[in-house]
Amino acid sequence: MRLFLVCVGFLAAACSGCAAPPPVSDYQKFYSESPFTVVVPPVRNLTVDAEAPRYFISTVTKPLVDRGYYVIPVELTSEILAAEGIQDGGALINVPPSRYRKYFGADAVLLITLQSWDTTYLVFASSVTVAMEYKLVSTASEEILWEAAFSETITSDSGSGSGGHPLADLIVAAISAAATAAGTDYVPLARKANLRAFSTLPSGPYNPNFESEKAFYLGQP
Amino acid sequence: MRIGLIALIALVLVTTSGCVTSSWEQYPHSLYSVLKDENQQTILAHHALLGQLLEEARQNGWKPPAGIATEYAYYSVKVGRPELVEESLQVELLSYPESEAFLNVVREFLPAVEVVPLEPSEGALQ
Repeated sequence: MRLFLVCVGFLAAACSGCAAPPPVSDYQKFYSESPFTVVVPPVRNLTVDAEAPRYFISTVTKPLVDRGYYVIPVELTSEILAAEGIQDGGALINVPPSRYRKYFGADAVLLITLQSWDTTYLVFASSVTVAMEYKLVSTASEEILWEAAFSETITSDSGSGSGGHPLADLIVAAISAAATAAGTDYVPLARKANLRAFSTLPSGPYNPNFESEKAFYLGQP
Repeated sequence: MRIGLIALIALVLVTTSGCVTSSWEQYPHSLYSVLKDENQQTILAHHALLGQLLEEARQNGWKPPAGIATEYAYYSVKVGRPELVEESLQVELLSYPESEAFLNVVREFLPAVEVVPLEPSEGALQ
């Protein structure tokens, strides 16, 4: 009986740990703001890979357009902001969201923070992780309308070897893990993370499900 | 017989729909190539893909994917084809009227975009 209670307690704790806040806190506000023309400025980079934001930004447009949003071309956005003296995602922290309405005529700005874009080595294994945080902010009210955080990881396990020479096996396994990690492309992982993230975003007006989803979320018959 | 016919039609539809979306499926890969290594070859390939997307949309009477006609205008300047700009911006405006404010910014910005210089061909005199 005691063991049963411990198990129930453990499960409850585990489930509460999994529970994430809903990506849209107020659907009424979301639809009244109509954040469907979206500008995606350069990504804020918290990783050590200086090139990662540039590679990552190529993965954002398609899933967002497929979701039914009007997305201002990302490369053009970067160039226009650079002409205004804003070169990287770090400098964007000081740009008020309302400025994006003035510059781009956007209803909302999608702010993305790249939290992880790296490889961890554990002798026999390597683990490649990309992790992002997304915030869709209204350029009218400057409020967050949707937010999400997603990550994708690939772990490769080279095994401990069985050649009968422990040191040689260890070296071979470590080299194999490093080679697997080096050959892993981060971009497909980022694409997967984006797909998962944007699947929690309500459909935009160019998505066939827009009206039915809107009625559902607003509780209309 | 009837089931065979239905299966054949279904197969044709599936195959055709796959073809229709193939350029759009290639878009992120093409953009990634440009952002990773911006050179004449990658830019020309991306420009061609964007043109193909617009042509597919025109032939099928669809809207092109959002933003694509504007991006085509931008890369048209980069590859030295400014005569293609105005028509593609018009396509964007007609397809997505909400783009009007942004297109005004683009019209002001495009004259400042530099053409990607031609790389010297192999064997050219230095």
